Amino acid sequence: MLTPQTKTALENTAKNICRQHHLSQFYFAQSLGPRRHYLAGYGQQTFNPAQHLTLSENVVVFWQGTLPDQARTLIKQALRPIAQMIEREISMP
Amino acid sequence: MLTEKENTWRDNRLEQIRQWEQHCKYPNFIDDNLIWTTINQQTNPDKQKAFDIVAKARDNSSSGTMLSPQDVAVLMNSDDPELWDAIFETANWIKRHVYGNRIVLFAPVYVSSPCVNNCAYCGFRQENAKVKKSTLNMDELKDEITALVDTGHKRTILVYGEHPLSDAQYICQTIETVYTVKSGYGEIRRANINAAPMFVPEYKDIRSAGIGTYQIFQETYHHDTYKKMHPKGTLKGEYAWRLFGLHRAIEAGIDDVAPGVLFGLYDWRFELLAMLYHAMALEKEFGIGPHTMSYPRMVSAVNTPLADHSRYLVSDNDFKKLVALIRLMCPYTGSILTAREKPAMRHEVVKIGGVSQMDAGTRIGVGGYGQIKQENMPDKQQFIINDPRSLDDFVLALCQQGYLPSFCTAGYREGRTGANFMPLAKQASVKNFCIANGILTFKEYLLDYASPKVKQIGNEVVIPTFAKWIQQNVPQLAGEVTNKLKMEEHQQRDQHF
Repeated sequence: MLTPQTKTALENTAKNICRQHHLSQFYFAQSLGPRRHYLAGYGQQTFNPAQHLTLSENVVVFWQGTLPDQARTLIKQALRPIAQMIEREISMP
Repeated sequence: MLTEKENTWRDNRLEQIRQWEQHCKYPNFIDDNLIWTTINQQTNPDKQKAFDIVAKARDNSSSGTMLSPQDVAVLMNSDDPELWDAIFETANWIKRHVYGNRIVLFAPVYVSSPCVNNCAYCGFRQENAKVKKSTLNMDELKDEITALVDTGHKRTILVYGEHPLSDAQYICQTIETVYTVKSGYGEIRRANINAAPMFVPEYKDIRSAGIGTYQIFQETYHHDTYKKMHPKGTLKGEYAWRLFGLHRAIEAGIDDVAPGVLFGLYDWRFELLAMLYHAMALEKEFGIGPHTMSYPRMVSAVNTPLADHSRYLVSDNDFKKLVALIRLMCPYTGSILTAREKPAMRHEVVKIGGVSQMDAGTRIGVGGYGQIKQENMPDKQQFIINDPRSLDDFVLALCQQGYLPSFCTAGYREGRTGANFMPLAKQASVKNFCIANGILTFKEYLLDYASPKVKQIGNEVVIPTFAKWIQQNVPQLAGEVTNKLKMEEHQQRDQHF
């Protein structure tokens, strides 16, 4: 389970990414078997096909809008510490 | 008789449950007197007031606002046929407004039937020796799931008795096993759970296996009736433990939860308002309402006289009313109509009740799908099902009525769960995904499992009709839907948004 502070941090991160890359929505999810369990995010659903990127073993991000390959790579790198933080928190009993 | 081991397990658990109840942090939200007062204060309702409430319910469906208990009491007390016509029409309108004209299909799998409880209405009660109980091992479960997915299902609800053999650890093991089964293109993509209330750490374990919805039926919210139905000293005898079972599930991070009532144990009007109070309590505490609501009507079970003779058995007319009122009072919730009802009744209620999900091709004996040709196995079942049609026959009937049969499981695999799902349902925009994913999953069914008759109506009428709907209402998805349909024709599967 995420702490409220982490949740807020994820919301702010998602907001920044949306603004920087002109995305309508960006959110973090936890992989639980086939389920991608919503953790936190920002933006509005526009009913376009969502894209996704696996950040770590149990953390995935989804977005709506266009992200070129280079931006995806940068985002993946930038979010690595956040993914590690999420992994730590969700592994806590 | 319980074995010594079963007795010890039950007694230890009961002690822990009572400790939890002593320290329960949640306020009780079921006040029997208040509910009856609310119902009785709204007798002989003013006609215009009632029609205004129906209009309000329609408006509410774009914001997800629930009706108040007072409003629902006004409607349930009316016997004006004109008003009921308006309620039925509105229930159907709201359902189409929120979810579109699709019906999500699933099938229950009874995984284990031994139970330490002794509920008066249940064929699986511990003292009922006339029903044979069994617990599937993992190989048997794989066979059962294989038989199920070979009919075309992608979505199931796994049902468990409350017993040391089917504890949280066993439940986790079964969920993981279910997801491993592949048979041709067949697989289960979403497993929901119907099991006993758990402790938070147990829910956390179950959550980690990747479940869909966790469903707990209170059966009856009426305190005295609850006591009569669930003997003291059994686990299910603990009212508060069960009442807050979904609260604990959310506390553990399970954010798709589903209450239900077994209609026929007590007055349906009381139960309906109580279920509304349950939804309000979840909203208040967590900001998340019920993902679905269930309203099974009590039906016959072997050696279970109460099921046929309860003074509160719900008539067909009242059943139609309560289903429609659920849609008006809680516009965003999934509404599940089961195969306990006869085919004609199901087809009528789906038209006027705002139903969004139905089971089909249902077999409820433990190991029932392995013997799919046998419709009922009374001595192995919790109750008798009244709609034993095959999935394909059921799908055909839905198509003929103009519905889109959907095997969609996309939302929870795209991160649209809990707080990310609720706004879509509350703002009535979730249909944009529901229809698109319904088309794609129905196409898979047509390609892999359908009879020639279903293929014909599906390909010639249903898919084009709903593809046109997407073109007109969600044009940004239309091209992708067409592409994904083509990919499916080229043997690619599990296309979704």
